Amino acid sequence: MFRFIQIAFTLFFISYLWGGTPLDYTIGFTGGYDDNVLRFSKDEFNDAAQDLSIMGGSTTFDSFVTKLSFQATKSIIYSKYQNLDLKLLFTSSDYRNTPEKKYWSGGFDIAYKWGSYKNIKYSLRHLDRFYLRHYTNRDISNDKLSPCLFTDRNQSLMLSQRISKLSWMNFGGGYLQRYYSKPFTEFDLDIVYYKAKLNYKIKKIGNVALQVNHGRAVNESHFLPERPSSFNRSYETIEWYAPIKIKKKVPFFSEIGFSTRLEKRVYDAEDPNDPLHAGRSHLDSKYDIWLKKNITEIVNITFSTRYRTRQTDSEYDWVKDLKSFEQMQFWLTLKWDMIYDKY
Amino acid sequence: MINIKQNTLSLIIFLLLFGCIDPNNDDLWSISIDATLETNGFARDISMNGNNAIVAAGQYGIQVWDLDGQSMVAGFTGYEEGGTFLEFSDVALVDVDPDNDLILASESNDDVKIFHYGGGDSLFYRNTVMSARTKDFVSFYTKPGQFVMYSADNDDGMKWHYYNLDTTSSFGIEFIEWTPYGGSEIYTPGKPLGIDSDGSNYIAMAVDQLGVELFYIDSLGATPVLINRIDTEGNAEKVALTAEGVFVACDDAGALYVPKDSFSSESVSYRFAEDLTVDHISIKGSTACLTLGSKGIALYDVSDPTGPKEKGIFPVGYSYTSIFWGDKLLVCTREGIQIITIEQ
Repeated sequence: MFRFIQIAFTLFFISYLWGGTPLDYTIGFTGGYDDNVLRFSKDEFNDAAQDLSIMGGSTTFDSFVTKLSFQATKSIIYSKYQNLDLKLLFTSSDYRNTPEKKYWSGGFDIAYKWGSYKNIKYSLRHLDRFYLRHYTNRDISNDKLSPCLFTDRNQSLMLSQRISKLSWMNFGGGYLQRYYSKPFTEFDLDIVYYKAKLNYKIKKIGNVALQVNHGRAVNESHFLPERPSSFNRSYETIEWYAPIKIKKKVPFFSEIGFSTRLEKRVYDAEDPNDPLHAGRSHLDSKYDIWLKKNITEIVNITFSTRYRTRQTDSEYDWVKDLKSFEQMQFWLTLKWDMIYDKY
Repeated sequence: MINIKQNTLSLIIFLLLFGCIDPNNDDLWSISIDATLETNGFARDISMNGNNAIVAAGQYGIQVWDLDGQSMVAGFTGYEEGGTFLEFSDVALVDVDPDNDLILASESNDDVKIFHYGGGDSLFYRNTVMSARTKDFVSFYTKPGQFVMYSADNDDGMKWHYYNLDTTSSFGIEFIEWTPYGGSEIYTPGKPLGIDSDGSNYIAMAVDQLGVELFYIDSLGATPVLINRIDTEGNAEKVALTAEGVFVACDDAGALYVPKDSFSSESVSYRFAEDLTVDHISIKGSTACLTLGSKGIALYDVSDPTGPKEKGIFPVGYSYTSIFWGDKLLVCTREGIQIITIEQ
């Protein structure tokens, strides 16, 4: 993490010195509500009534959430024909009723642009110690629960290319390292993925897009020495994402959007000793709606909501019940877009 | 313009190379199973004579394995007594006295049988000692033709005797027996299940629901004197005596460490592996191996025995007992003897 902060701040300050261009920055504050922070299934809600320890430090299934975000963009090189832009992002999140769930995320983009919708972009994202829930640490115990947290480092390289006057495409690939904190390091995943997105601009309305993301997650733990937790958690994933943004002819609001995100994940595991993963797959569906209102030129407010449902398929009914859940989230985000121009 | 492209590309390649993170490491130990010696019957107990392992192989009987060559030297499904071949029903405990060329074995809930084994494929039954419901025993060589044995007798308490080689001849037939000499029976209100001794000053005995008892002996063969009995959570089943204290396997209540001093002063004990079902404990240096039945084994770092640190559960098969052999760990499982290397 220290190296990441070093790189990010070095790039940021270099960009501040160079370019002779203004610095665009945005400060955002988000308040939200999550009705199922721990992603409990119906059975687990019942279990928690008998055994509170599975909730870790939480006393409620739901939680209020606050997020503070900062984003800055600067063109290091700016001309009529080409740009080199740098973007820095940082968000701090705090789940008020879930003591273990406080984390930060951030990253930066470096984009080289040589025309309208023509660019190549390198992105690095870091998610630090994201808490999932308490799980049994089977390496050392039959029922000893420990908090399960992971850290993501996601790097991607995306190329954008105009297809026609109204459409353009983004495609590329990435490498996501999802490494768990002790004692769940056996869950570690290296995920290689490719992504393609087709965007279409609907005249006088907004735009629509269709994205596909295919990935392969490799888990090395089954090559580890024999342990109760040493099972193969590798999987194949394919995700479809379709957002629609309406920006024109919208009463009162400045933008209305809808999106659907469907992820199908199929685990490799076939080990009968690992019924939790063997032959398991799931469909994770996320439906989002957002309403954005520009209050002033620099201040906007966005209300968004997400309904998420995960339907698990397995040979075992108890696995289906255990790993399926529903979740609702509501967010209200206030943003200030500002410019610092010393030139 | 070319320069900008090149520089951007170089920067991206640099970030791709150095933008990765390293995984975290658990502080757990790992094991590798070097070999599994298939014993046909369940491997229930093991005793070492140099590089030879004497195995209580359950319903198979008794086996002798050369661990270096990983081959069975001899297997005995029964023994001859009075001209009749008697099959073993279920050998559960075994010990060896290499100086007197003896194998001492007990079948489940039975007394202890003494066999002469001088190598090769012949096992000669001598006689039976102790009594029925012997749950555990330890023996120590004292001199040629003599050994001393302490047993955890489930219905009588602790039994101990010297056993002397007694050879008589009658009608041209030579009768060889090991006859008890001295010793006695020490009553305990508990139900003894396990026993261990350092062979010089202490004997520890697990007495089921009543806990663990520590006895003092002036020297090997002296009358044991009860120091104290300490209650344990669950059922005290087996004990492992070390220089500083006693480790107790407490079945579904996990395990316990009791310093020797605690038996004579405050009854302080340190519980660990609380959520595991512990059937047996073996100790070597700072490593403890807990056998967990169907769950396999659990390893603990006991460099500080008052605060054992869990180092991993390993599902090596249904496990009964374990013993350290040099740098290796030998685990008696239903599949046979597992020869295991622990990587710390």
